[in-house]
Parts: sequence; structure tokens; C-alpha cells
Amino acid sequence: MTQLYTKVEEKRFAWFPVLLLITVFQIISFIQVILKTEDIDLKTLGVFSGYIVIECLYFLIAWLVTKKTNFELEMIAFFLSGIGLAISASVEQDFAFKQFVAIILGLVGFVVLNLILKDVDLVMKLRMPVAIGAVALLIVNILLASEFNGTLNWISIGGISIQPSELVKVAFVFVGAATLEKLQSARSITKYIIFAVACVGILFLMRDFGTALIFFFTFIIIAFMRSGDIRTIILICAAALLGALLIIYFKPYVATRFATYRHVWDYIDDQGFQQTRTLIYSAAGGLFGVGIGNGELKDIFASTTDLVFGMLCEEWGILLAFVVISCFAFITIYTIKSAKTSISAFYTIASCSAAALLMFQCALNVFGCTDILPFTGVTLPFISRGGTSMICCWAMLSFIKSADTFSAVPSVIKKEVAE
Amino acid sequence: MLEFLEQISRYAISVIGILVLIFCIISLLRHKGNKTEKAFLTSTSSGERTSLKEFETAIGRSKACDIVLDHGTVSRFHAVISLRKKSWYVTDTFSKTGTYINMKKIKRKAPIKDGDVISFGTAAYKFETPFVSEVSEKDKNVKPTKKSDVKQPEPVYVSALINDSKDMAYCLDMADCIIGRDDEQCDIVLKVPTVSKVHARLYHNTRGWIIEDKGSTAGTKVNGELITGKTKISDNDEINLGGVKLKFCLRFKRVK
Repeated sequence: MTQLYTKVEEKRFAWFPVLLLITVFQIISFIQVILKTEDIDLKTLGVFSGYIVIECLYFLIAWLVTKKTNFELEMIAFFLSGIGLAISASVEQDFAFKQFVAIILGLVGFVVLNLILKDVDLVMKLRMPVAIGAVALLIVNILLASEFNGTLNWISIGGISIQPSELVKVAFVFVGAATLEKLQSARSITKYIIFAVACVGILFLMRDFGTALIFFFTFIIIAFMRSGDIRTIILICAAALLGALLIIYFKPYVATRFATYRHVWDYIDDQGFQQTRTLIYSAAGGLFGVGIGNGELKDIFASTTDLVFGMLCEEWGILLAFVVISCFAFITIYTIKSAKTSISAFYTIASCSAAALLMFQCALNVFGCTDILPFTGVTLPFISRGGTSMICCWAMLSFIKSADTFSAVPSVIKKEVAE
Repeated sequence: MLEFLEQISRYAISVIGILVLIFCIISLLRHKGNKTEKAFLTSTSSGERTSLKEFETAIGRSKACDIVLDHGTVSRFHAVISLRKKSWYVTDTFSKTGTYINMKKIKRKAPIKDGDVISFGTAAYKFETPFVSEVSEKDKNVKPTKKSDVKQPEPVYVSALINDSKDMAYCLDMADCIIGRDDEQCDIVLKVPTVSKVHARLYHNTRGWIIEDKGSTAGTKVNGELITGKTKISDNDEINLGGVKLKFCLRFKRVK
């Protein structure tokens, strides 16, 4: 009896036609921005052309180096980032350059983190320094931050403003997945719980409740991925609810942040101003939008960050807004599918928690600005303007990418037995 | 003209956006994943075969494990068998009773190859894989502990019931066993008339070893006291089953 081993060929992703479509999409949207902008400067033109060149170069180099074609995630990320870049440029040309730099930094971070994540032993060595660094960064944030928009989550270093809590999101997933990996002992869980409580606690002190909620949700996902025990999760949620009630009891000002929830029309010209305008202008956009740069919402405060979904609906149309939401759903389903066959529990936990974080953040932004959920002021991943937020999103993508075992050598070998 | 083009482009970006999404979804639907059987574990006692389809398989008594071994000597999270590149490894995840490869205790992580017998506590399994292990030079340095370097077969500890009068020991290889006179229904057979056909049940749970009388005629005593319900037993406890005295030994040294 002889044993034969045959390679099972996976059907490949037609990345080139998709890249072509995305490039055409971006050229059309950038031209619309240029036509609507008075006194367009060369820097903005450079940003648009630079973005398309970098995008094409990335896929070409990645294809030549890795010989793989599984670029679906990067395609989606570039597609969304391109929309964000056009939105930023349509409001203020300076925003476009900063956003472009953030995308490049995010892409570099994505590649570097992907290389680090390939070596699980290195990840295990790094988890403790990363955890300590993350907590230290949050403490520095509390000490140095000045109040902005009711929160203490921005620090300025050499004229550059950064949001440390966004960078800590990456550390949170990194440490969580590494600590609760199958090959670790159960003893590690306590350390991770201490780390998670420290992060969420400091975020509460910073009054950044939106990010604290995202961290908590990610913690729940990581805990469930490791334990698989629904009772433990219910217990954690009950404890968190009790904690939240105690905070509201002892610090009543926290509740006032959510006073307008479900009552934005009662506060149409004060606390509910942003959300009511978002709802009005989103509806005005119709299926195909009023055209890039033709909207009214861009003049409202935080139109390119917290209210970006409203701008998308108004100027680009509800159809494209639906495509954007579907992109996040796609990332989630892609993650679930690839996590099932990942080569290590570390990758499964890391990818699922990163995808859940992106999806939850997207839900908080979309439902927050439309008054379905409390307005917490979190950004829409890849689209909202913001350097640290963009870097964090690309880092999250590398966690998701790490679980993708497409063309992993041992798994594509099928055993056949022949006489 | 410019206005007309602007109108067209409004529709075009929505259509292109939908096309991009459709292309990605089609690719996702075609991507089937690679969940093939990569290796097998065959129980040396029962011959039961379990396939390993994951790159990492957690083994233990806990329901959270990929392979659940309901065995008294297996820890809740006992070990993980993993495929890295083209080599297989077994990693002991701080189990109480240890993990062995071909009767040699491993310290933490050790490479395994086709035909190796892996023991989780006393539960032994033969490992079979269609892949040829390519153990790297670095991994060759992962050696078993010094204790295992002794050429004599290493003793394996199991819980057991010892019959001193007959100089016999009944090793409790399974986590749940029935004691009685009937060959067919019982795992430990005591051919004594005062022992009922199905006399008692001895099983292991998170509390430890538990004995339960199964409605025997002569009753079951632990340290001279007649038991009525489920009773926890400890090391060196004397169990009297219809006059047959057995001593319970938690860690009985068995040399294979």
C-alpha cells in the first residue's frame, strides 16, 4: 500500500480587477474633491496621487514577495481609507496631508506587526513589556493631558497631538491574545485581568467612556475565546453593570454625558445639535448622495470624526454608506472563517478580538451619531480623520491577517491511499 | 457638461463600491479553509481513534479542550499537540501527572513523530501522522528531563485498589468503574459470593475519588462505616465490599 499526498489548490482571489476598480473609484472621488475645492494646492494633488501609487505598489510588492493573492482585507482597508482621505480633503486640505501620513504610518505598522506576529515565541517575550508600556502610557496621558471635549485623552508632543488610548487598544489585543494562548497556563489569566482592569479604570478616570466600553467589549470577547464558558461572561457583565451603577451613584456627572440619549430632538439647538443635524442631512443625501463637497454637515463640529457616517450618507449616499457598513461585516465574517483554521490559538484570539473591536467601534459610531446608542464620540475605523486612530485600525488589521492560513503548507496536503 | 459628469460620477462610485464588495464576498465564499485530518491519536487500551484537524489541539479533562479525556489522571488542561511548519510537538501545560513520550517524561515541549506513544497521565495514545516530521536542530535540543534519561522504564503512578490478602492491585485506569461479581457489567470483578453482581461504583470527579453503593445486599463500608450515599475516599482508606477488603491507594507505582 502506498500513500500519496496531493496538493489541494485553493481558488485564488482576483486581486488585480478589484485593485483596478478601487483605483477608478478613488480617481473619481478625488476628482470630485478637486473640482469642488477652491484654490487646490499642489500638496493635496500630491497626496491623492501618492495614495494611489502607494496602494498599487503595496499590492505589487506583496504579490511578488509572498506569492499569495489573499489581499481581500488590505483591499477593503485601502478602499475605506481612500474614502476617509477624500472626506478629510473635501473639508480641509490640511487634513488630507495629515491623514495621508497617518495611512502610511499605519501601513508600515501593519507590515511590521505582521512580521512580529509570525513568531509566536517573540510575541510571548514581548507581552509583558507591552503591557507595562501600555499602562505607563495611559498614566502619562492622565498626567499630561489637557481637557478636550470633556475628556482627557489627547496629549501633545512637539506640536503633534496623539491619542494614547488608541495605541493602547493594540497593546490590549496583543497582550490579551498572548496571555490567554492555549499553550500558557491558567495562571496567566489573573495577570491579564489585572491589566484589563487597570486599562479600563484609567480610561474611566480620563472620562473616555466610549473607549472604555470598547476595551470592555474586547475583554469579553477574549475571555470567551479562552474559556468558552457563557456563565463566566454573564458573571463579568453583571459585575461590570454593578460597577457602572456604582460609578453613576457616586459620580452623577457621568450620567449627564448621556442625558440626551433618545431625546436629541428635545435638545435640538444645544446638546442634541450634532445628532439632529446628522439625521437631517443623512436623510437629505438620498440613495446616491448630494455629491462630494456639496453637503451641509461638513460645517458642523466633528463632521470628519464622530459624525463622519452622517457625511458619508449625505454626500456619498446611503447606498455607499451601506457598502461601508458591509465592509466591516465582511471583515468580521472573514475573521470567523479564517480563525477556524488558524495555526495557533493565539492567532484565533487575536484576530477575533481585533475584528470584534473594529465592529463594535463601527457600531458605536454609526448608532451613536444616529441616536440609537448613546453618543460616545468614537471614530469610524479607517474613515474618520485621526492619525492614532488610523494607525490603530491598520494594526488591528494585522491581527486579523495573522490568522489567515491561506496556502499554509501542511494543511493543503491531502492524504490518499492507493493500492 | 461638467455637471452631467458630476451626476454620472455620483452613481458610478456607488456602483463601483458595490462591485468591490461583491468581488470580496465571492472570494470569501470560495475560500473553504483547510480543515483536513492532519494526524490521529489511537488509544492503546480501547483502540479508539481520534483525528486531529487543527494546527493546535488542547487535550484535557475540561470541556473547553478540543479532545476531552475523562480520566482520573488527566488534568483539566493537560497538554497541547501542535503542528508548527512541518513538525509536530506536544507541550505539557503544567499538568499534575505529566506527559510522556514513549514512557519518557517531557519537561514542557518536545517534538513527536509518527508512531510515538504519548501518555497523558496514564492515558496512553499512539500518535500517527501522514506528515514526515522535520525536526530542526534547535528542536533537537529540547530534551526530556534528567529523570527520564534513566534507561529503566519510568514508573507511572495511577490510583488503585489493593487487595493485600491476594497480593493484587486493581489499577484505576478509567475515571469511572463498576465493581461487582458480574463479568459483563463490571470493570473490576470480585468472584466472591458475598459481593453483589453490581456492588459499587467508583468514579473520579473534581472533588476526587467517590464511591457509591449500587444497592448491594451486603453493603459497602469505608473505614468500617457503612455508606449510604456518595462518599469521598482518600489515600489508604479501607473499602469493604461484602467482606472483601480493599485498600485505596491514590498514587500506586506501576512499572510498565
